[in-house]
Amino acid sequence: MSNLVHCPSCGARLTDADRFCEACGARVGHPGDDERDHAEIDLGMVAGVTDRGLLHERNEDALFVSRADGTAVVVICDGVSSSTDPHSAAQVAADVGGRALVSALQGGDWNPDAATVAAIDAAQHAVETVPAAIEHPEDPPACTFVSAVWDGHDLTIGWVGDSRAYWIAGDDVRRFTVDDAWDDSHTLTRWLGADAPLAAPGVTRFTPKGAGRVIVCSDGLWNYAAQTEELAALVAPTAEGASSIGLAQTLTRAALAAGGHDNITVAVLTIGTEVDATDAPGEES
Amino acid sequence: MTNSFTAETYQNEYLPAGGSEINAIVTVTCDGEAPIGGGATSAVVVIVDVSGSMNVPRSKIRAARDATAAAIDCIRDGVLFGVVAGSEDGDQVYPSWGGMIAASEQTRGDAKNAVGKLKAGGGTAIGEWLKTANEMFRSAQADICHAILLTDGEDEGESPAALDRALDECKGRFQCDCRGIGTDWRVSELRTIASALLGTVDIVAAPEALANDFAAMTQAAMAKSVGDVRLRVWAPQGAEVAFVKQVSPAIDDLTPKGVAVNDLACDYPTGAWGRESRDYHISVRVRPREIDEEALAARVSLVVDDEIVSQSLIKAIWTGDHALSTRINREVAHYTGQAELANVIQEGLAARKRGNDDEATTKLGRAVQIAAESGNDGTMKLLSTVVDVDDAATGTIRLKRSVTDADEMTLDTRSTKTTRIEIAD
Repeated sequence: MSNLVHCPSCGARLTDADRFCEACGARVGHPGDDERDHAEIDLGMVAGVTDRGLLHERNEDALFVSRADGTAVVVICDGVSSSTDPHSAAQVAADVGGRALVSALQGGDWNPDAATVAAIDAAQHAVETVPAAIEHPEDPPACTFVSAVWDGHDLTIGWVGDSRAYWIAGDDVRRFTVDDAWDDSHTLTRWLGADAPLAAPGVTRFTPKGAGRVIVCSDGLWNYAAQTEELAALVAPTAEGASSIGLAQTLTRAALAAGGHDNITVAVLTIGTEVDATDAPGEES
Repeated sequence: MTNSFTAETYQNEYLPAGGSEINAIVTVTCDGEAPIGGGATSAVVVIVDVSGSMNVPRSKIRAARDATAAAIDCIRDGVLFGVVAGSEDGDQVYPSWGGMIAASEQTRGDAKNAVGKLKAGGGTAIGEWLKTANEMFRSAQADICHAILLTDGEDEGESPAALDRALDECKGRFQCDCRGIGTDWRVSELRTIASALLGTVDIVAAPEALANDFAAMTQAAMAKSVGDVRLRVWAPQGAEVAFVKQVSPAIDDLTPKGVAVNDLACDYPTGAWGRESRDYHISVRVRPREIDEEALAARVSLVVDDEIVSQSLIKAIWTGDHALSTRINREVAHYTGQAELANVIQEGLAARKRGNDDEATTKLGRAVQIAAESGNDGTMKLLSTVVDVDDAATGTIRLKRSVTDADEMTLDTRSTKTTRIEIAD
C-alpha cells in the first residue's frame, strides 16, 4: 500500500498509513490487513492476543506463539510506525524468528542463548529483504523483537527494541528486558531493519523456582503500566488458576480501556501449573 | 485511568451491483473511571415552573418545591448551581444576587429556603426561563452545564419564534432534561426543547413521584464526567450522509444538528457522557463501484476537546453474490424496527385524537407487533394501557374505549425509548 503515492481510483495523494483513500474512500491497502485488527491464539499454557487498538488505522504488531512437548515459544514484534510498511517487517520477523526457535528446540544440541541470537539474526535478515526494504532504501521497514522460550527448565528472553518481557509469581515480580530506547521516550536506539545499528541483541536466562507467569508485550500495553509494579497490579486481580488466554484478554482490555492509543499485543506463558498439560500442542502465528 | 471511548460498527458491508445505500449501527461506549470531583467542572440549574396553573391543584406547586429541594440535595459539594422560577419571565431565585454558587451544606440549605417560599402566579414563557439559565451558565464557565426543567403547561406566554430563538441561543451551551407534570403540557413541544438541548423528556403524572424523579435526574447529571463529546462522520467525495440518529437509549435524529468541519466531515453533538453506552444508526449513500471493489463508506470518530479519541469504519464491498448482499444485519434490522415503533405510536395516537379509529388501530397494532417481536417490554406495557391486545404476533388489537390523558401522554413521551438487541448468539 505504501508503494502507492496516488489513489488509483481518484488520483488523490495518499499517506503511508492509509488503508482507504482519504478523498474517495477506495480501498488502497490489502484486504488481509483487517484480519490483523484483532487476533487471539490459545494453546493452553501459552496464549496471546493482538489488537489494533482504538486509534491506529492498522495493526502493525505481530505475534507468534507455539508449544510442543512441554516447551513453548513466544515472539512479539512491533513495527516502527515511522518506517515504510512496518506491519510487514513485524510479521516477517515474528514468523521467521519464531520458526527458527521452534526448530532449534526440536533439534539436538539445544543451546538457548545461541538459538535466541540466531533467531534474531534470521529475523533481521528477513526484515532486510522484504520488498519495501529494497524499494525504499531511504526509509526501510523496521520493527522491534522480543522472544521468550521455555524449554521445560529454563526461560530464555531475547530482545531488540522496546517490547518487553516480565516474570510474575506472587510477590516475585521482575522485568527481563531493558528498553533499547532513549529514557522516557519511544525513540529506539536499536531495532531490526536494513538501517539498524550493528549491536548484539539482549539475551537473558532465568530458572523459575516455582509456578509463575511470563508476560510478553508491545508498548501498546506497557505504556499504561510503565513501572513493573503497575503491570503486576494489572495481573494481580486475575485468579491464579486463570488461563493464559484469559489473562492475555484481561490485559488487552485494560490497555483498550486506558485509551488504546497504540497497537496492543500481549502473550502469556504459564509455567509450573496443571495448565501445561491441557490442550493439544500446536503452533500458530 | 481516565475515561476512554470505544466505537464498534455492526453492518452488512456487501452491496449488489449498482447498490449505493449502506446502513450501520455504531455502538459507542464510554468506560474507565469517572474522575469524581476532579477533571471536568460541573454546573446545574434547576428551572421550576411557577405559573398560575401550578396552583391547580394546589399539590402541584408543593410537589414542585419538594422536587426542587430533592434535586438540590443531590448536587455534589463544589458543583456550581442555581435555581430559576419560571413564569412569563425567568426569575433567578437563587443565588438571588446573580451568577452561580458552589454547592455546600450552607448554600444547599439557603437555596432550599428560597425555593420553599416560591408562589405560583403568572404565565408560561419557557424561552425566557432558558435565557436566564443560559446567562447563569455563561457566568459559571463550567465544562459540563446541565439544566433540569419542570413545567405543567403549554408555552403560551411567547410566540413559537421566540422559543426557537431562545433555543438557538442555548444550543451547545447547556443540556436540558425536561419533565412535564400533569397532563396540560404538550409532548411534542417539550420533546423539541429536550432534543435541541440534548436532554431527555418524560412525564411525571403524579406530583408525589416528582421528588424521586428529580433526584434521579440530578444524580444522572452528576455522573457525567466528559463534556461536549461529538460524533464526527467522514464520508467520501460523492457520498451523502442520509441520516445520523441516536437509536439507544432513545431515538433522537441528529441529522439536522450536524455542523460541517470540512468538505467531507460533519460533527454531531452528543452532549456530556458518564460511564454509558449509546448506539447510533448511520445511513450513507455512496457512489456505486465495480463488483469486488471495496471502499470506505464512512469513518465515525469520537471527538473530545477537538481530539479524536476513538473511531470505527463503515465499509462497502460490491459483490455479485446475492447471498451476501441480501444478508440482513441484526443490529440494523432491530433499530430500524425500533424507529418504526416510535413512529407508529406517535402516528397512531395522533390518528386516535383526530377520531380516525381505523388508522389508529392499524398503527397501534403494528406497534404492538414490533414491541412484542423486539422484546420491548416497557413500551408493550404502555401500549396495553391504550389498547386491548388480542394477538401480539399479528398485531391484532382493539382500541380501549376510555383512556386517561396521563396514560396516553406517557406512551407518547416514552415512545422513543428503545431496547437493545437481545443477545441470542
